[in-house]
Amino acid sequence: MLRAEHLTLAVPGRTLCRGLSLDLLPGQCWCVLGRNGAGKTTLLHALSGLAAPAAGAVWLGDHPVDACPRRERARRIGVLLQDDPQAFWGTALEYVILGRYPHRHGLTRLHQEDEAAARTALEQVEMQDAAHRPLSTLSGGERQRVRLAALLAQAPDIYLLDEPLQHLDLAHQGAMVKLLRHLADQGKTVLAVLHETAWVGRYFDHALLLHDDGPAAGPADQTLTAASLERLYRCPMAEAATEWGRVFIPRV
Amino acid sequence: MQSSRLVFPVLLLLAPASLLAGLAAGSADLPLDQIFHALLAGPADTLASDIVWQLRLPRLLSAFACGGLLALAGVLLQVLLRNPLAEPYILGVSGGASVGALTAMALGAGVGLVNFGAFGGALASVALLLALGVGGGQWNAQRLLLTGVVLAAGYGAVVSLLLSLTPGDSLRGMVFWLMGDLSRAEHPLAALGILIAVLGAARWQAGALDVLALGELKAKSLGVAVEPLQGGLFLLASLCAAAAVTEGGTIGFVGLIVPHFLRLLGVAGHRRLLSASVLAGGSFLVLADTLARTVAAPQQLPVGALTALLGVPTLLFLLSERRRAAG
Repeated sequence: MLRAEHLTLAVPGRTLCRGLSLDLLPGQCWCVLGRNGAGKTTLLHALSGLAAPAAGAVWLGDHPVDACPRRERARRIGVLLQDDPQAFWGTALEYVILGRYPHRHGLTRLHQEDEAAARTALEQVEMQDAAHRPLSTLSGGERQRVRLAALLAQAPDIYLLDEPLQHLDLAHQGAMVKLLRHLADQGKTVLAVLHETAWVGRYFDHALLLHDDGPAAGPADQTLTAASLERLYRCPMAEAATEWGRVFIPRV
Repeated sequence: MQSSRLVFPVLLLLAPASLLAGLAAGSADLPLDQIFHALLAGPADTLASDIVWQLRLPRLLSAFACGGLLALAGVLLQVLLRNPLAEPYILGVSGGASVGALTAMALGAGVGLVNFGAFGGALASVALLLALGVGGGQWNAQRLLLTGVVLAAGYGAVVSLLLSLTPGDSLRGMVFWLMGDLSRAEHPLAALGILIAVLGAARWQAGALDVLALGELKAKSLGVAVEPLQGGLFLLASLCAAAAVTEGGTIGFVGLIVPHFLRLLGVAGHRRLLSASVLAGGSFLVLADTLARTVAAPQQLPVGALTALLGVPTLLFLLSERRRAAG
Protein backbone atom coordinates (compact mmCIF):
# COMPACT_ATOMS: atom_id res chain seq x y z
CA MET A 1 0.00 0.00 0.00
CA LEU A 2 2.85 2.36 0.86
CA ARG A 3 5.94 1.42 -1.09
CA ALA A 4 9.41 2.92 -1.06
CA GLU A 5 11.70 2.17 -4.00
CA HIS A 6 15.47 2.66 -3.92
CA LEU A 7 15.30 5.65 -1.61
CA THR A 8 18.35 7.76 -0.93
CA LEU A 9 17.96 9.88 2.16
CA ALA A 10 20.12 12.94 2.62
CA VAL A 11 20.37 16.11 4.65
CA PRO A 12 22.29 19.10 3.25
CA GLY A 13 25.92 18.04 2.94
CA ARG A 14 25.46 14.40 4.00
CA THR A 15 23.99 11.22 2.56
CA LEU A 16 22.32 9.20 5.29
CA CYS A 17 21.09 6.10 3.60
CA ARG A 18 21.08 4.50 0.13
CA GLY A 19 19.09 1.80 -1.61
CA LEU A 20 16.21 1.62 0.84
CA SER A 21 13.19 -0.31 -0.44
CA LEU A 22 10.15 -1.09 1.67
CA ASP A 23 6.66 -2.47 1.26
CA LEU A 24 4.32 -1.44 4.05
CA LEU A 25 1.14 -3.52 4.01
CA PRO A 26 -2.10 -3.32 5.99
CA GLY A 27 -1.87 -5.22 9.26
CA GLN A 28 1.88 -4.80 9.56
CA CYS A 29 3.48 -3.12 12.55
CA TRP A 30 6.98 -1.89 11.74
CA CYS A 31 9.66 -0.53 14.03
CA VAL A 32 12.49 1.60 12.67
CA LEU A 33 15.73 1.50 14.64
CA GLY A 34 18.94 3.38 14.13
CA ARG A 35 21.58 5.46 15.80
CA ASN A 36 21.16 9.23 16.23
CA GLY A 37 21.46 10.92 12.85
CA ALA A 38 20.89 7.70 10.88
CA GLY A 39 18.01 9.26 8.91
CA LYS A 40 14.97 7.95 10.75
CA THR A 41 13.08 11.24 10.78
CA THR A 42 14.15 12.02 7.19
CA LEU A 43 12.74 8.63 6.19
CA LEU A 44 9.44 9.40 7.89
CA HIS A 45 9.17 12.73 6.07
CA ALA A 46 9.91 11.04 2.75
CA LEU A 47 7.37 8.25 3.33
CA SER A 48 4.66 10.75 4.28
CA GLY A 49 5.33 13.02 1.31
CA LEU A 50 6.30 15.96 3.55
CA ALA A 51 9.75 16.16 1.95
CA ALA A 52 11.04 14.59 -1.23
CA PRO A 53 13.82 11.99 -0.87
CA ALA A 54 17.17 12.77 -2.48
CA ALA A 55 16.54 9.91 -4.91
CA GLY A 56 14.03 7.11 -5.37
CA ALA A 57 10.27 7.12 -5.16
CA VAL A 58 7.48 6.61 -2.67
CA TRP A 59 4.19 5.18 -3.91
CA LEU A 60 0.86 5.42 -2.17
CA GLY A 61 -1.18 2.76 -3.91
CA ASP A 62 -0.66 3.36 -7.63
CA HIS A 63 0.39 7.02 -7.39
CA PRO A 64 3.53 8.83 -6.25
CA VAL A 65 2.86 10.01 -2.71
CA ASP A 66 3.56 13.66 -3.56
CA ALA A 67 1.08 13.56 -6.46
CA CYS A 68 -1.79 12.63 -4.15
CA PRO A 69 -4.15 15.54 -3.35
CA ARG A 70 -3.19 17.02 0.03
CA ARG A 71 -6.35 16.34 1.96
CA GLU A 72 -6.82 12.88 0.56
CA ARG A 73 -3.23 12.08 1.49
CA ALA A 74 -3.86 13.39 5.02
CA ARG A 75 -6.89 11.13 5.28
CA ARG A 76 -4.75 8.13 4.32
CA ILE A 77 -1.39 8.89 5.95
CA GLY A 78 -1.13 10.26 9.48
CA VAL A 79 2.18 11.44 10.89
CA LEU A 80 3.22 11.90 14.50
CA LEU A 81 5.98 14.50 14.23
CA GLN A 82 8.53 15.30 16.89
CA ASP A 83 7.06 18.75 17.52
CA ASP A 84 5.88 19.75 20.95
CA PRO A 85 2.78 21.98 20.86
CA GLN A 86 3.60 23.56 24.22
CA ALA A 87 2.60 27.01 23.01
CA PHE A 88 -0.81 25.82 21.76
CA TRP A 89 -3.60 28.26 22.65
CA GLY A 90 -6.40 25.87 23.53
CA THR A 91 -7.49 22.84 25.49
CA ALA A 92 -6.50 19.23 24.89
CA LEU A 93 -9.85 18.60 23.20
CA GLU A 94 -9.44 21.61 20.89
CA TYR A 95 -6.01 20.32 19.92
CA VAL A 96 -7.30 16.83 19.14
CA ILE A 97 -10.15 18.27 17.06
CA LEU A 98 -7.54 19.89 14.78
CA GLY A 99 -6.64 16.33 13.80
CA ARG A 100 -10.03 16.20 12.05
CA TYR A 101 -8.95 18.94 9.62
CA PRO A 102 -8.54 16.67 6.58
CA HIS A 103 -12.11 15.42 7.09
CA ARG A 104 -13.59 18.90 7.21
CA HIS A 105 -14.48 21.22 4.37
CA GLY A 106 -13.66 24.91 3.95
CA LEU A 107 -16.74 26.62 5.26
CA THR A 108 -18.42 23.92 7.30
CA ARG A 109 -18.49 24.36 11.00
CA LEU A 110 -17.32 21.74 13.40
CA HIS A 111 -19.53 18.68 13.16
CA GLN A 112 -20.63 16.73 16.16
CA GLU A 113 -19.00 13.66 14.68
CA ASP A 114 -15.65 15.46 14.70
CA GLU A 115 -15.97 16.24 18.39
CA ALA A 116 -17.18 12.71 19.11
CA ALA A 117 -14.16 11.29 17.27
CA ALA A 118 -11.87 13.57 19.26
CA ARG A 119 -13.41 12.50 22.56
CA THR A 120 -13.12 8.82 21.64
CA ALA A 121 -9.48 9.36 20.73
CA LEU A 122 -8.80 11.01 24.09
CA GLU A 123 -10.38 8.01 25.82
CA GLN A 124 -8.11 5.65 23.87
CA VAL A 125 -5.07 7.35 25.39
CA GLU A 126 -6.75 7.73 28.81
CA MET A 127 -6.76 11.51 28.64
CA GLN A 128 -10.53 12.08 28.65
CA ASP A 129 -10.37 13.73 32.09
CA ALA A 130 -7.98 16.36 30.74
CA ALA A 131 -10.19 17.23 27.74
CA HIS A 132 -10.90 20.76 28.95
CA ARG A 133 -7.51 21.54 30.44
CA PRO A 134 -5.24 23.94 28.50
CA LEU A 135 -2.70 21.87 26.60
CA SER A 136 0.13 24.09 27.85
CA THR A 137 -0.56 23.05 31.46
CA LEU A 138 -0.13 19.31 30.76
CA SER A 139 3.12 17.45 31.42
CA GLY A 140 5.37 16.32 28.57
CA GLY A 141 4.05 12.76 28.75
CA GLU A 142 0.44 13.89 28.90
CA ARG A 143 0.96 16.14 25.87
CA GLN A 144 2.53 13.20 24.07
CA ARG A 145 -0.63 11.16 24.66
CA VAL A 146 -2.81 14.05 23.47
CA ARG A 147 -0.66 14.27 20.34
CA LEU A 148 -1.31 10.61 19.68
CA ALA A 149 -5.03 11.21 20.27
CA ALA A 150 -4.98 13.89 17.55
CA LEU A 151 -3.47 11.31 15.20
CA LEU A 152 -6.15 8.77 16.15
CA ALA A 153 -8.83 11.40 15.48
CA GLN A 154 -7.27 11.93 12.05
CA ALA A 155 -8.11 8.24 11.48
CA PRO A 156 -5.67 7.50 8.65
CA ASP A 157 -4.99 4.06 7.13
CA ILE A 158 -1.25 4.42 7.58
CA TYR A 159 0.32 5.59 10.84
CA LEU A 160 3.87 6.95 10.69
CA LEU A 161 5.17 7.80 14.15
CA ASP A 162 8.39 9.56 15.12
CA GLU A 163 9.40 8.45 18.62
CA PRO A 164 5.87 7.84 19.93
CA LEU A 165 7.24 6.70 23.31
CA GLN A 166 9.18 9.86 24.14
CA HIS A 167 8.31 11.39 27.54
CA LEU A 168 6.09 8.41 28.46
CA ASP A 169 6.41 6.49 31.71
CA LEU A 170 6.74 2.69 31.51
CA ALA A 171 3.06 1.91 31.97
CA HIS A 172 2.07 4.38 29.25
CA GLN A 173 4.85 3.13 26.97
CA GLY A 174 3.25 -0.29 27.30
CA ALA A 175 -0.22 1.12 26.64
CA MET A 176 1.09 2.98 23.58
CA VAL A 177 2.78 -0.04 21.93
CA LYS A 178 -0.31 -2.14 22.65
CA LEU A 179 -2.43 0.53 20.99
CA LEU A 180 -0.14 0.51 17.93
CA ARG A 181 -0.37 -3.29 17.81
CA HIS A 182 -4.15 -3.04 18.10
CA LEU A 183 -4.26 -0.58 15.15
CA ALA A 184 -2.27 -3.03 13.04
CA ASP A 185 -4.54 -5.90 14.08
CA GLN A 186 -7.48 -3.81 12.83
CA GLY A 187 -5.86 -3.66 9.41
CA LYS A 188 -4.03 -0.36 9.68
CA THR A 189 -0.40 0.02 8.66
CA VAL A 190 1.91 1.15 11.45
CA LEU A 191 5.53 2.28 11.27
CA ALA A 192 7.16 3.72 14.38
CA VAL A 193 10.63 5.11 14.90
CA LEU A 194 11.83 4.23 18.37
CA HIS A 195 14.79 3.59 20.62
CA GLU A 196 13.14 1.38 23.25
CA THR A 197 14.49 -2.10 22.43
CA ALA A 198 12.55 -3.64 25.32
CA TRP A 199 9.32 -3.39 23.34
CA VAL A 200 10.34 -4.12 19.77
CA GLY A 201 10.62 -7.91 19.98
CA ARG A 202 7.17 -8.30 21.47
CA TYR A 203 4.78 -5.98 19.64
CA PHE A 204 6.33 -5.31 16.23
CA ASP A 205 6.20 -7.90 13.48
CA HIS A 206 8.59 -6.15 11.09
CA ALA A 207 11.75 -4.17 11.62
CA LEU A 208 13.86 -1.74 9.60
CA LEU A 209 17.41 -1.26 10.84
CA LEU A 210 19.27 1.74 9.44
CA HIS A 211 22.86 0.45 9.61
CA ASP A 212 25.75 2.73 8.67
CA ASP A 213 26.49 0.50 5.67
CA GLY A 214 22.91 0.20 4.45
CA PRO A 215 19.42 -0.63 5.60
CA ALA A 216 18.11 -4.06 6.59
CA ALA A 217 14.37 -4.68 6.51
CA GLY A 218 12.24 -7.74 7.09
CA PRO A 219 10.19 -9.80 9.52
CA ALA A 220 11.13 -9.02 13.11
CA ASP A 221 12.07 -12.57 14.05
CA GLN A 222 14.78 -12.57 11.37
CA THR A 223 15.89 -8.94 11.43
CA LEU A 224 15.97 -8.40 15.16
CA THR A 225 18.75 -10.35 16.85
CA ALA A 226 21.22 -9.47 19.55
CA ALA A 227 23.94 -9.53 16.88
CA SER A 228 22.11 -7.20 14.50
CA LEU A 229 21.32 -4.74 17.27
CA GLU A 230 24.94 -4.89 18.47
CA ARG A 231 26.07 -3.99 14.98
CA LEU A 232 23.44 -1.24 14.75
CA TYR A 233 24.08 0.50 18.05
CA ARG A 234 27.78 -0.50 18.44
CA CYS A 235 26.82 -1.55 21.89
CA PRO A 236 26.90 -5.08 23.37
CA MET A 237 23.36 -6.49 23.53
CA ALA A 238 21.73 -9.50 25.18
CA GLU A 239 18.55 -11.27 24.10
CA ALA A 240 16.26 -12.91 26.62
CA ALA A 241 13.33 -15.14 25.75
CA THR A 242 10.56 -14.46 28.24
CA GLU A 243 7.04 -15.77 28.44
CA TRP A 244 5.88 -12.44 26.92
CA GLY A 245 8.24 -12.61 23.99
CA ARG A 246 11.81 -11.67 23.10
CA VAL A 247 13.44 -8.81 25.02
CA PHE A 248 16.67 -7.03 24.08
CA ILE A 249 18.71 -5.24 26.71
CA PRO A 250 22.10 -3.56 26.48
CA ARG A 251 24.96 -5.40 28.20
CA VAL A 252 26.59 -2.30 29.69
CA MET B 1 -13.90 29.22 29.05
CA GLN B 2 -16.56 31.17 30.93
CA SER B 3 -15.14 34.61 30.26
CA SER B 4 -14.55 33.87 26.57
CA ARG B 5 -18.29 33.30 26.07
CA LEU B 6 -18.98 36.81 27.30
CA VAL B 7 -16.41 38.45 25.02
CA PHE B 8 -18.55 38.38 21.89
CA PRO B 9 -21.75 39.86 23.32
CA VAL B 10 -19.69 42.54 25.08
CA LEU B 11 -17.88 43.41 21.85
CA LEU B 12 -21.14 43.51 19.90
CA LEU B 13 -22.41 46.09 22.38
CA LEU B 14 -19.13 47.94 22.63
CA ALA B 15 -18.86 48.67 18.89
CA PRO B 16 -22.11 50.70 18.52
CA ALA B 17 -21.62 52.20 21.99
CA SER B 18 -18.17 53.50 21.06
CA LEU B 19 -19.55 54.98 17.83
CA LEU B 20 -22.37 56.70 19.74
CA ALA B 21 -19.93 58.08 22.28
CA GLY B 22 -17.84 59.39 19.41
CA LEU B 23 -20.88 61.01 17.81
CA ALA B 24 -21.82 62.71 21.08
CA ALA B 25 -18.35 63.98 21.94
CA GLY B 26 -16.95 67.14 20.42
CA SER B 27 -16.79 70.89 20.61
CA ALA B 28 -20.45 71.34 19.66
CA ASP B 29 -22.82 69.83 22.24
CA LEU B 30 -25.16 67.32 20.64
CA PRO B 31 -27.65 65.53 22.92
CA LEU B 32 -28.35 61.87 22.11
CA ASP B 33 -31.91 62.52 20.91
CA GLN B 34 -30.65 64.98 18.31
CA ILE B 35 -28.01 62.47 17.19
CA PHE B 36 -30.61 59.72 16.79
CA HIS B 37 -32.91 62.10 14.99
CA ALA B 38 -30.14 63.18 12.61
CA LEU B 39 -29.10 59.55 12.00
CA LEU B 40 -32.64 58.35 11.29
CA ALA B 41 -33.56 61.33 9.13
CA GLY B 42 -30.53 60.86 6.88
CA PRO B 43 -28.35 63.73 5.63
CA ALA B 44 -30.37 66.95 5.84
CA ASP B 45 -29.80 70.67 5.84
CA THR B 46 -29.52 71.22 9.58
CA LEU B 47 -26.53 71.92 11.78
CA ALA B 48 -26.95 68.70 13.76
CA SER B 49 -27.20 66.70 10.56
CA ASP B 50 -24.10 68.35 9.14
CA ILE B 51 -22.09 67.65 12.27
CA VAL B 52 -23.20 64.00 12.35
CA TRP B 53 -23.09 63.16 8.65
CA GLN B 54 -20.31 65.43 7.38
CA LEU B 55 -17.91 65.68 10.30
CA ARG B 56 -18.14 63.07 12.97
CA LEU B 57 -19.53 59.92 11.31
CA PRO B 58 -16.97 59.72 8.45
CA ARG B 59 -14.11 60.16 10.89
CA LEU B 60 -15.56 57.62 13.33
CA LEU B 61 -16.09 55.06 10.60
CA SER B 62 -12.56 55.71 9.37
CA ALA B 63 -11.28 55.12 12.88
CA PHE B 64 -13.30 51.91 13.19
CA ALA B 65 -12.11 50.61 9.82
CA CYS B 66 -8.54 51.57 10.59
CA GLY B 67 -8.55 49.88 14.01
CA GLY B 68 -10.23 46.78 12.61
CA LEU B 69 -7.73 46.56 9.74
CA LEU B 70 -4.77 46.93 12.10
CA ALA B 71 -6.03 44.23 14.49
CA LEU B 72 -6.85 41.93 11.58
CA ALA B 73 -3.40 42.42 10.04
CA GLY B 74 -1.89 41.69 13.46
CA VAL B 75 -3.69 38.34 13.76
CA LEU B 76 -2.78 37.30 10.22
CA LEU B 77 0.90 38.21 10.59
CA GLN B 78 1.14 36.51 13.98
CA VAL B 79 0.06 33.26 12.30
CA LEU B 80 2.17 33.78 9.18
CA LEU B 81 5.39 34.58 11.03
CA ARG B 82 4.55 32.34 14.02
CA ASN B 83 5.74 35.18 16.16
CA PRO B 84 3.49 36.56 18.91
CA LEU B 85 5.15 39.97 18.62
CA ALA B 86 4.40 40.40 14.92
CA GLU B 87 2.37 43.55 14.21
CA PRO B 88 1.03 45.20 11.05
CA TYR B 89 4.11 47.31 10.43
CA ILE B 90 6.74 44.68 11.20
CA LEU B 91 7.39 43.95 7.52
CA GLY B 92 8.01 47.58 6.67
CA VAL B 93 4.64 48.34 5.04
CA SER B 94 4.26 51.49 7.11
CA GLY B 95 7.81 52.57 6.27
CA GLY B 96 7.06 52.41 2.56
CA ALA B 97 3.80 54.25 3.12
CA SER B 98 5.59 56.92 5.18
CA VAL B 99 8.15 57.54 2.47
CA GLY B 100 5.35 57.83 -0.12
CA ALA B 101 3.15 60.11 1.98
CA LEU B 102 5.97 62.36 3.17
CA THR B 103 7.36 62.70 -0.33
CA ALA B 104 3.90 63.81 -1.50
CA MET B 105 3.70 66.29 1.40
CA ALA B 106 7.17 67.64 0.67
CA LEU B 107 6.02 68.29 -2.88
CA GLY B 108 3.05 70.21 -1.50
CA ALA B 109 0.37 67.71 -2.51
CA GLY B 110 -3.18 67.75 -1.10
CA VAL B 111 -4.87 65.06 0.99
CA GLY B 112 -5.85 62.94 -2.00
CA LEU B 113 -2.33 62.77 -3.39
CA VAL B 114 -0.84 62.18 0.05
CA ASN B 115 -3.16 59.18 0.48
CA PHE B 116 -2.24 58.01 -2.99
CA GLY B 117 1.43 58.34 -2.08
CA ALA B 118 0.91 56.38 1.14
CA PHE B 119 -0.97 53.54 -0.53
CA GLY B 120 1.48 53.44 -3.44
CA GLY B 121 4.44 53.44 -1.07
CA ALA B 122 2.91 50.61 0.97
CA LEU B 123 2.27 48.47 -2.12
CA ALA B 124 5.74 49.20 -3.48
CA SER B 125 7.30 48.09 -0.20
CA VAL B 126 5.26 44.86 -0.34
CA ALA B 127 6.47 44.19 -3.87
CA LEU B 128 10.06 44.90 -2.87
CA LEU B 129 9.77 42.58 0.13
CA LEU B 130 8.32 39.82 -2.05
CA ALA B 131 11.19 40.18 -4.51
CA LEU B 132 13.89 40.19 -1.83
CA GLY B 133 12.39 38.04 0.90
CA VAL B 134 10.94 35.14 -1.04
CA GLY B 135 13.92 33.63 -2.81
CA GLY B 136 13.31 30.84 -5.31
CA GLY B 137 9.59 30.73 -4.57
CA GLN B 138 10.30 29.27 -1.11
CA TRP B 139 8.41 30.76 1.82
CA ASN B 140 10.59 31.19 4.83
CA ALA B 141 9.03 33.14 7.68
CA GLN B 142 12.41 33.93 9.26
CA ARG B 143 13.86 35.30 6.06
CA LEU B 144 10.73 37.32 5.32
CA LEU B 145 10.80 38.78 8.82
CA LEU B 146 14.49 39.68 8.70
CA THR B 147 14.17 41.25 5.26
CA GLY B 148 11.13 43.24 6.42
CA VAL B 149 12.93 44.52 9.49
CA VAL B 150 15.99 45.54 7.45
CA LEU B 151 13.79 47.32 4.89
CA ALA B 152 11.93 49.10 7.70
CA ALA B 153 15.25 50.43 9.01
CA GLY B 154 16.04 51.71 5.52
CA TYR B 155 12.68 53.49 5.27
CA GLY B 156 13.32 55.01 8.68
CA ALA B 157 16.52 56.55 7.35
CA VAL B 158 14.75 57.98 4.30
CA VAL B 159 12.00 59.43 6.53
CA SER B 160 14.62 61.12 8.75
CA LEU B 161 16.25 62.54 5.66
CA LEU B 162 12.92 63.87 4.33
CA LEU B 163 12.10 65.43 7.70
CA SER B 164 15.47 67.14 8.01
CA LEU B 165 15.27 68.55 4.47
CA THR B 166 11.73 69.90 4.92
CA PRO B 167 11.17 73.57 5.86
CA GLY B 168 9.54 74.18 9.25
CA ASP B 169 5.99 75.02 8.16
CA SER B 170 5.28 71.62 6.51
CA LEU B 171 7.03 69.71 9.28
CA ARG B 172 4.07 69.66 11.67
CA GLY B 173 1.78 67.85 9.22
CA MET B 174 4.47 65.28 8.53
CA VAL B 175 5.13 64.59 12.20
CA PHE B 176 1.40 64.22 12.84
CA TRP B 177 1.10 61.83 9.92
CA LEU B 178 3.98 59.75 11.28
CA MET B 179 2.43 59.61 14.74
CA GLY B 180 -0.90 58.48 13.36
CA ASP B 181 -3.64 60.99 12.77
CA LEU B 182 -7.22 60.53 11.66
CA SER B 183 -8.11 64.22 11.26
CA ARG B 184 -7.77 64.00 7.48
CA ALA B 185 -9.73 60.76 7.17
CA GLU B 186 -12.92 61.53 5.30
CA HIS B 187 -13.70 58.62 3.01
CA PRO B 188 -14.12 55.51 5.11
CA LEU B 189 -15.99 53.38 2.57
CA ALA B 190 -12.94 51.99 0.76
CA ALA B 191 -11.26 51.01 4.03
CA LEU B 192 -14.50 49.47 5.35
CA GLY B 193 -14.89 47.51 2.13
CA ILE B 194 -11.35 46.14 2.38
CA LEU B 195 -11.94 45.30 6.05
CA ILE B 196 -15.07 43.26 5.30
CA ALA B 197 -13.54 41.51 2.29
CA VAL B 198 -10.37 40.50 4.14
CA LEU B 199 -12.30 39.39 7.21
CA GLY B 200 -14.50 37.21 5.03
CA ALA B 201 -11.54 35.66 3.21
CA ALA B 202 -9.64 35.02 6.44
CA ARG B 203 -12.66 33.49 8.18
CA TRP B 204 -13.12 31.18 5.23
CA GLN B 205 -9.67 29.77 5.99
CA ALA B 206 -10.00 29.97 9.79
CA GLY B 207 -9.64 26.21 10.23
CA ALA B 208 -6.47 26.19 8.14
CA LEU B 209 -5.10 29.09 10.21
CA ASP B 210 -5.67 27.09 13.40
CA VAL B 211 -3.64 24.24 11.93
CA LEU B 212 -0.93 26.48 10.45
CA ALA B 213 -0.38 27.98 13.91
CA LEU B 214 0.87 24.51 14.94
CA GLY B 215 3.76 24.75 12.50
CA GLU B 216 4.29 24.38 8.77
CA LEU B 217 5.21 20.70 8.77
CA LYS B 218 2.30 19.76 11.01
CA ALA B 219 -0.09 21.78 8.83
CA LYS B 220 1.28 20.08 5.73
CA SER B 221 0.81 16.66 7.27
CA LEU B 222 -2.83 17.51 7.95
CA GLY B 223 -3.45 18.45 4.33
CA VAL B 224 -3.18 22.26 4.45
CA ALA B 225 -1.87 23.87 1.25
CA VAL B 226 0.80 25.65 3.26
CA GLU B 227 2.59 27.75 0.62
CA PRO B 228 -0.53 29.19 -1.07
CA LEU B 229 -2.02 29.90 2.35
CA GLN B 230 1.11 31.74 3.47
CA GLY B 231 1.17 33.75 0.26
CA GLY B 232 -2.48 34.67 0.72
CA LEU B 233 -1.91 35.64 4.35
CA PHE B 234 0.99 37.85 3.38
CA LEU B 235 -1.00 39.65 0.70
CA LEU B 236 -4.12 40.08 2.85
CA ALA B 237 -2.14 41.34 5.84
CA SER B 238 -0.22 43.74 3.61
CA LEU B 239 -3.44 45.01 2.06
CA CYS B 240 -4.89 45.61 5.54
CA ALA B 241 -1.77 47.43 6.71
CA ALA B 242 -1.59 49.51 3.54
CA ALA B 243 -5.26 50.51 3.79
CA ALA B 244 -4.94 51.33 7.50
CA VAL B 245 -1.79 53.39 7.10
CA THR B 246 -3.35 55.28 4.19
CA GLU B 247 -6.38 56.07 6.31
CA GLY B 248 -4.66 57.12 9.52
CA GLY B 249 -0.88 57.21 9.22
CA THR B 250 1.23 54.94 11.41
CA ILE B 251 -1.01 54.19 14.38
CA GLY B 252 0.92 51.83 16.63
CA PHE B 253 0.06 49.11 19.12
CA VAL B 254 -3.52 48.37 18.00
CA GLY B 255 -2.41 45.43 15.84
CA LEU B 256 -0.19 44.11 18.60
CA ILE B 257 -2.25 44.43 21.76
CA VAL B 258 -5.78 43.72 20.51
CA PRO B 259 -5.15 40.09 19.43
CA HIS B 260 -3.07 39.45 22.55
CA PHE B 261 -5.66 40.92 24.83
CA LEU B 262 -8.39 38.73 23.29
CA ARG B 263 -6.23 35.62 23.56
CA LEU B 264 -5.70 36.41 27.22
CA LEU B 265 -9.48 36.55 27.63
CA GLY B 266 -9.68 33.06 26.15
CA VAL B 267 -10.70 33.89 22.57
CA ALA B 268 -8.43 31.46 20.80
CA GLY B 269 -9.74 29.64 17.72
CA HIS B 270 -9.23 31.80 14.64
CA ARG B 271 -12.86 31.83 13.54
CA ARG B 272 -13.72 33.80 16.68
CA LEU B 273 -10.39 35.57 17.08
CA LEU B 274 -10.62 37.20 13.63
CA SER B 275 -14.10 38.66 14.14
CA ALA B 276 -13.44 39.62 17.75
CA SER B 277 -10.22 41.38 16.74
CA VAL B 278 -12.01 43.47 14.14
CA LEU B 279 -14.72 44.52 16.62
CA ALA B 280 -12.27 45.17 19.47
CA GLY B 281 -9.67 46.94 17.30
CA GLY B 282 -12.32 49.12 15.68
CA SER B 283 -13.98 50.07 18.96
CA PHE B 284 -10.62 50.71 20.62
CA LEU B 285 -9.49 53.11 17.92
CA VAL B 286 -12.87 54.89 17.87
CA LEU B 287 -12.58 55.53 21.60
CA ALA B 288 -8.91 56.50 21.35
CA ASP B 289 -9.63 58.93 18.51
CA THR B 290 -12.57 60.42 20.39
CA LEU B 291 -10.22 61.03 23.32
CA ALA B 292 -7.65 62.49 20.95
CA ARG B 293 -10.25 64.94 19.64
CA THR B 294 -11.59 65.99 23.01
CA VAL B 295 -9.10 65.83 25.90
CA ALA B 296 -7.09 68.86 24.80
CA ALA B 297 -9.82 70.55 22.69
CA PRO B 298 -9.68 72.67 20.65
CA GLN B 299 -6.19 71.24 20.16
CA GLN B 300 -6.33 67.78 18.49
CA LEU B 301 -3.81 65.15 19.56
CA PRO B 302 -2.44 62.56 17.14
CA VAL B 303 -4.33 59.35 17.90
CA GLY B 304 -1.19 57.26 17.42
CA ALA B 305 0.35 58.91 20.46
CA LEU B 306 -2.73 57.99 22.50
CA THR B 307 -2.83 54.36 21.38
CA ALA B 308 0.84 54.07 22.29
CA LEU B 309 0.24 55.71 25.68
CA LEU B 310 -2.59 53.24 26.33
CA GLY B 311 -0.80 50.35 24.63
CA VAL B 312 2.58 50.43 26.33
CA PRO B 313 1.32 49.88 29.90
CA THR B 314 -1.23 47.31 28.69
CA LEU B 315 1.43 45.33 26.88
CA LEU B 316 3.83 45.49 29.82
CA PHE B 317 1.04 44.25 32.06
CA LEU B 318 0.26 41.37 29.68
CA LEU B 319 3.93 40.38 29.51
CA SER B 320 4.34 40.37 33.27
CA GLU B 321 1.14 38.30 33.58
CA ARG B 322 2.54 35.82 31.13
CA ARG B 323 5.83 35.64 32.99
CA ARG B 324 3.92 34.96 36.19
CA ALA B 325 1.80 32.28 34.50
CA ALA B 326 4.91 30.65 33.04
CA GLY B 327 6.96 30.92 36.22
